[in-house]
Amino acid sequence: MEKMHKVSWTERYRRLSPQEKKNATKEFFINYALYMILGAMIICVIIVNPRFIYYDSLINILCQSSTRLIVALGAAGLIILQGTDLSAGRILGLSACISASLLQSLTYSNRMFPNLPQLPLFVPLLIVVIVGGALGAFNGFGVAKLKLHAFVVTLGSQLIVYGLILVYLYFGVNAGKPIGVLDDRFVNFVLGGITIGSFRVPYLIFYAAIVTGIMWFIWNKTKLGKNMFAVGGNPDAAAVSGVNLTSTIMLIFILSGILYGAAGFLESARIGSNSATTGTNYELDAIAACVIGGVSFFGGVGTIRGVIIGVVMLQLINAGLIFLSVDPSWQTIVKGAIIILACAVDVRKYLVRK
Amino acid sequence: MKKSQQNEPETPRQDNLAGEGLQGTAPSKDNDIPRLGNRKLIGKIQVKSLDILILVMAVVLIVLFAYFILKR
Repeated sequence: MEKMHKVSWTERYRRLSPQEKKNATKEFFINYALYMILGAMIICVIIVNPRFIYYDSLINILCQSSTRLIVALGAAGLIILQGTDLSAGRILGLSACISASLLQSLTYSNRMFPNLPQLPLFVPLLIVVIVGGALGAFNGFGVAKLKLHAFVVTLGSQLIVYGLILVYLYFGVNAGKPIGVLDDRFVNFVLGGITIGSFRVPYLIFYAAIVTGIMWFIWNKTKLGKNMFAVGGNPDAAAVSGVNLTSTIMLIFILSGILYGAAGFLESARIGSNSATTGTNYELDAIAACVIGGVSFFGGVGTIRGVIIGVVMLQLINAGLIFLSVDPSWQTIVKGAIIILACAVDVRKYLVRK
Repeated sequence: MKKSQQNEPETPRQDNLAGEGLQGTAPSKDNDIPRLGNRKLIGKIQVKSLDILILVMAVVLIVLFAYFILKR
């Protein structure tokens, strides 16, 4: 067996019969069609507009990817459990509004809470993480205990959270206005950076990297991660093997909620002005990125590396289309086609495996 | 009466019905083979259909992108 592992894929390919080679080549091109097309698209954008790979634009794309990556990591866990989360964007939006309202500049006259003293940064972060975790627990309870479908539960909670954002924005003297003019400490905490030579890397990218590292550890090195893959792959077999389905599903939902809360905190400072539309459609971007990155909707399959590739590729395509001055309506058509292609490849892989 | 009842032959129709019912509820092993074959065939057809969908979406994306670049 060990010898088998040591044989390189080129050697294995050479040993195949002509018909097997033909089939293997076809499978390769179909399974990696999406990556090839997206890669070719990015190369075309670079050729047409070389400013696309300038340091500033790349850092901007990475900053935009950072919060989306955190959301996608949360959603990926739920997709691995054969579920989904439509409330991710709204939970992020609520967290962003709460963070912004608690961390407005003291010199700003139209503060949402005029009498609120300057808070340490960790207080709003803790509050939004608790809020996100509680909303995740609500979704998890519906799925794990009440056996409701994740799509329906999270659709309901999406609407509830959107309502909560609107109620919150009309709280006190704010009267529905976007929450802006944030404390400099907060903005610097997120958008400040480390200067290496003539390059400046924002802290936001480091935070995303830290969260990714933590999630990699949870997915690959903890009992919860192993149980998540077991439950997603075959819930009945996992239950027979002694895995507690309820607690596993609940914990993954809570973890996702915490990630949305943290992403909302960071996104709040990144965009500067937070309103009811903050976080809209982020869940769809996250789900699309997961599917592009090979996280299977049939459950039990997915990697952190795949999620990162999916998020960055989707963001590169988004930015590339903007660089080509493509109309926003056409951008959504391209995104939709990419998602359908990714889904088709996913279902095909599943059927071939079966 | 009793004699006539005893002598009455068992109705073959009932036997046949019972036989049909049994065949319907518990399919023989011979019936399993074509079912499995059908499933495999359906799977192959699904894979073929997905291949076509993947090809179509790939062509759509390439055409759209070429259009965006040429339009600039």
